[in-house]
Amino acid sequence: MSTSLLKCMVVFWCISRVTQVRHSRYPPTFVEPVVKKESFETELPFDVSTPVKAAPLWRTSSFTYDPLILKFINIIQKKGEKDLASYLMRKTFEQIKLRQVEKVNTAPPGDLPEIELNPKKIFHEAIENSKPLLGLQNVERGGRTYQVPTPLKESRRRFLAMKWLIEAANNKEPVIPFYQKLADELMDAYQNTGAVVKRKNDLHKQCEANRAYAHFRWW
Amino acid sequence: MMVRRPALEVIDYIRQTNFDQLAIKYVIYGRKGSGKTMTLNHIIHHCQAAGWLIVHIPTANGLNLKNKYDFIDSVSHEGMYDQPTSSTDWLKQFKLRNERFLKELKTTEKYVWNKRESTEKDQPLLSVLEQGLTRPKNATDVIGVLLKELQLQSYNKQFKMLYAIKAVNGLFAEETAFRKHGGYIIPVRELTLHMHFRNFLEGDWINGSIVTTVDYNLSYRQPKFYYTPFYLLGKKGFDHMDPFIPVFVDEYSDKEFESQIAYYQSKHWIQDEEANTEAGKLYLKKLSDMNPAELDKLVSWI
Repeated sequence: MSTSLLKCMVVFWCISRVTQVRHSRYPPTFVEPVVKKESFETELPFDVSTPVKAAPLWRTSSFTYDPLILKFINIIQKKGEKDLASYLMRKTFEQIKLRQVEKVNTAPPGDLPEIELNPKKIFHEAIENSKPLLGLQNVERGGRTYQVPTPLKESRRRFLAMKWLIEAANNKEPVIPFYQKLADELMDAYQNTGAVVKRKNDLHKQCEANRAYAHFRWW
Repeated sequence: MMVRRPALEVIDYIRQTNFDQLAIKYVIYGRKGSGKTMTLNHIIHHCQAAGWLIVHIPTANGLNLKNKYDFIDSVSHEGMYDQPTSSTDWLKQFKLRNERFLKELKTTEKYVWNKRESTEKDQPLLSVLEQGLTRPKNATDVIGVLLKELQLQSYNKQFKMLYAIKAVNGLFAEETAFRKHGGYIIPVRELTLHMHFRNFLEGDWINGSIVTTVDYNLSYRQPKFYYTPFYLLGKKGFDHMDPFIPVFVDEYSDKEFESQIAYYQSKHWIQDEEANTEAGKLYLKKLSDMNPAELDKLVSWI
């Protein structure tokens, strides 16, 4: 085997087992690729006979790659306009950074309070604060529908947090640009206040009130 | 703030100009996002600080595109059209910049606006401008009168003048977005505002300079493939502008790129830890291809 092909294989070096079982286009022997420049030096030698999946088109080794941001862009997106969705996301981050940098620049010299300037960190923290722990599931028993409190999967919690943030931004005044409203919501959620955190707490209260129906849960 | 080489070059030329001759024209050109407008702004700032009178068109391309229901039959020129809103907007910014000159300079003849209103001889030019602001119907004619007066009085050498235009190819374009009720699209040659600006661009005045850029951004139904002056101005516009000094604005050099990144970092604008390393800088360099606007877009959200 030539050295260039060997190097290509090194890039797609395996890390974990396959997660998707049904409808996968790869047999279970195939492993996930890893896109890391350091693997050239650290993870050699390796078993060349291991079959590796093709890397997804959007996966890069750069610092701009963030799966959570890509997921959020996909949820903002309407009618396949991904360019517009990514533009809105970039503008939102710019807004957040502008506001935080302004706080630093206008603060009196000397005692500078701890201000988080990195918009990516603020975004992650805001999503984490907006995630609900419990949800409600409709169950029909004896002709009546009961709302049964249930723990949620991680993907569902993430989706709800993102959906609530976008809905809260859309419910604000229509004249203000969307990215400004979304930046407002993200900043509020980062400080554990605002409409989204209230909605999360309301859902938790509802779950607490429906505790009596918990025995309907069969899953 | 970094003032780049093309701006310094033009400022140096302006300093060494013999102002007894007719005004020299400069045409700034370059690729999209390479900093043509910033260069023009630096030159305007230099001249403003030196106490010059500044005649500035923010975007000539935009005049063909914006306020597209804003046209009336011309008062003074038959078969042509005036633009009241665009003209009053332009007069406002002109007044804001040059109020002290307009108070000093006097009209050289009597101007009759309609049956009742007129401006006498030896009145300050500010009263002409006020006529345009109070009667928007006369606003376009007021611009013509102001530019004509400035052209005549430049020979008295009381003031120095900079005529700065962004996207000058808009004045020599063919079509506009203005559509009359029957479906007739008004061409650029039938707009009096553009005519006045074009006439002033001929440069038969002294004691000043003309600095312009060519740009296909915001241009309406014009070719958008190449950035050179001849391609954008066309044969007619090129002949009108000739002779001029072309000034090319290139992408960042290595040193400029470094200094721009340092400027961003000093303003806390690059927050990602990895972007602040050497590898991150290289990544930004390759991805933006040293283009200032692309770099700004990349850096805006990390």
